[in-house]
Amino acid sequence: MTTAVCLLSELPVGATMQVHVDGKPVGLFNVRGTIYAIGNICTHAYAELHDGYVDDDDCTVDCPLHGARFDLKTGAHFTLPAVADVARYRVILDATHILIAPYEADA
Amino acid sequence: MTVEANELEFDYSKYGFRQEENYVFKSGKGLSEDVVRELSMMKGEPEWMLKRRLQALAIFYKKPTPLDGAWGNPDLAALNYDDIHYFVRAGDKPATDWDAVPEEIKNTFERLGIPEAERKFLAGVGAQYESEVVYHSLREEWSKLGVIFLDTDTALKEQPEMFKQYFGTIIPSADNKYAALNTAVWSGGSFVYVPKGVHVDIPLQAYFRINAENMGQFERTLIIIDEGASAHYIEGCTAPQYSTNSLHSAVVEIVVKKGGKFRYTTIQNWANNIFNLVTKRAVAYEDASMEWVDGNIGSKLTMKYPSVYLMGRGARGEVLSVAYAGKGQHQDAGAKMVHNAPDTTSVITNKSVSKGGGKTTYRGLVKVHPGATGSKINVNCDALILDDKSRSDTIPYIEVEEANVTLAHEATVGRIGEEQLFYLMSRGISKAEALSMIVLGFMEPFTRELPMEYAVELNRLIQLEMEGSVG
Repeated sequence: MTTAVCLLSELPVGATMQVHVDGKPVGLFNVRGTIYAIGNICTHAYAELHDGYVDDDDCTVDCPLHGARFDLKTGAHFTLPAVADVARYRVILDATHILIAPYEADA
Repeated sequence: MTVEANELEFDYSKYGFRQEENYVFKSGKGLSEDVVRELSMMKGEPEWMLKRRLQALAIFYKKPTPLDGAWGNPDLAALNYDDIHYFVRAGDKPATDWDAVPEEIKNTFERLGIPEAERKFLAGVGAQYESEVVYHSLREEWSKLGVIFLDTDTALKEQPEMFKQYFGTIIPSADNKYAALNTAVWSGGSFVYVPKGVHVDIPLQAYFRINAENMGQFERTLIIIDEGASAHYIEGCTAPQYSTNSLHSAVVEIVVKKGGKFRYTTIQNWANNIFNLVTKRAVAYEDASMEWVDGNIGSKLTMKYPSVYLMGRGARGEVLSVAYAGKGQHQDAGAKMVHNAPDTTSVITNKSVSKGGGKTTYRGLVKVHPGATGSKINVNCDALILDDKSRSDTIPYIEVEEANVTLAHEATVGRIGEEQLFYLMSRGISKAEALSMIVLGFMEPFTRELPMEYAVELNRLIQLEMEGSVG
């Protein structure tokens, strides 16, 4: 199931934002023109990842609260204090919109 | 009835001496982007490290001083970040021969007994004076086996890949305000790597000395114990006493891989004008064992909660700590255990003694994540309060998200009873001696875990203390 979450124009290069899909917060990240979507709530303590520091070279985001680092491509956690990954989502673009789907649908 | 313990201070004269300042470089007071850039440039660091430092500096500015909340402390209000020298270089690159160390610095470590200890019973020694390590050596037999023991600045140059792989992954800059500060201005510390299956059976030691007034020391330590390897690392710290505040803010990151064993022993004996704000965290994988043995005797305020993240089945973590708080001191120490795998075990044993208006706090976290079935946790906190002016608090946080767990928490608070004293004195033992016997007995579970030379020294300090405690 894919869901249109926002207009492409709402997420220029370097921008991040939070959207909701089925009530779940999802973080959107535009890194050098490629759009990534992962679960937006840090698995360590409650904080929204789209407010964190994005490293364009490594394609990671650091949680703004305690610095746990997540891979934007897979949702994997790279550092403590997080001990679990966040969800990963599939990103689909049409002419005007960003759509996302659960990663399982990618299989 | 309880016993009055009068105004007592540890005999600090052995540690409290000062040396003339004769430095290669001393940054002005206060912190700025320029200080960070200059420090990084003087060390000749790669670009990624400067970037990491500047990013951490921004985080440090952004995070408020934690004066309240679950892990905050109002005593931090007395710390003035603008009144501190953030980088002081006392010599050139670390020497591997004591004779190459500048005379007055060498004298300092001679007086503290470090070269003698090295000759007698240590596998390797690092000695840090102000911001940087001035002496570092590892016995040849260990380096031949592939053991790496370097000061952290040298390790960044000589082991760049391993360094980048682990640096900041256990304690990210944003973990807390002082981890950010350390990441921005870190200098010195130890880097240890023990290869697979190698057992370093005599200790490695690092000694940290602050000499200057209004000084900030920010060492950074990174230790990797590979699969099935084992080692023991000891750190000691002292400084002369000044009327103004100094800051010691270290970050210690440790990885113990499958089946590895590591013990980290600290004897913290800073002067009573030093804020000691330290972040120490280890990760233990399958069947690995990590032990923090942590003695806090000195400093004005210590805030330190050594942690173990138990990430593989059968991993084991232990924190064994003692704290002593005399007049004007607050020892806010504890432990954190995070269980994230089945059949993991943790033990926290905390003992504290307060007197003369001193304050001790045990603050700890036990967290059990879903799926960590069969985990066993044992927390034991004992506080001894020697007079009416002193105080002790116990603040345990327990978060268990798994049903199949065994957790025990015990806490006791007590005074030295008249009956105990009477019993000892009826055997012809003086009151002071009796007091010191009781306190030494109380701390014994800690001291018996120290190498003998350190246990003797710690017991002697406590005996001296107790000698002045009656009449």
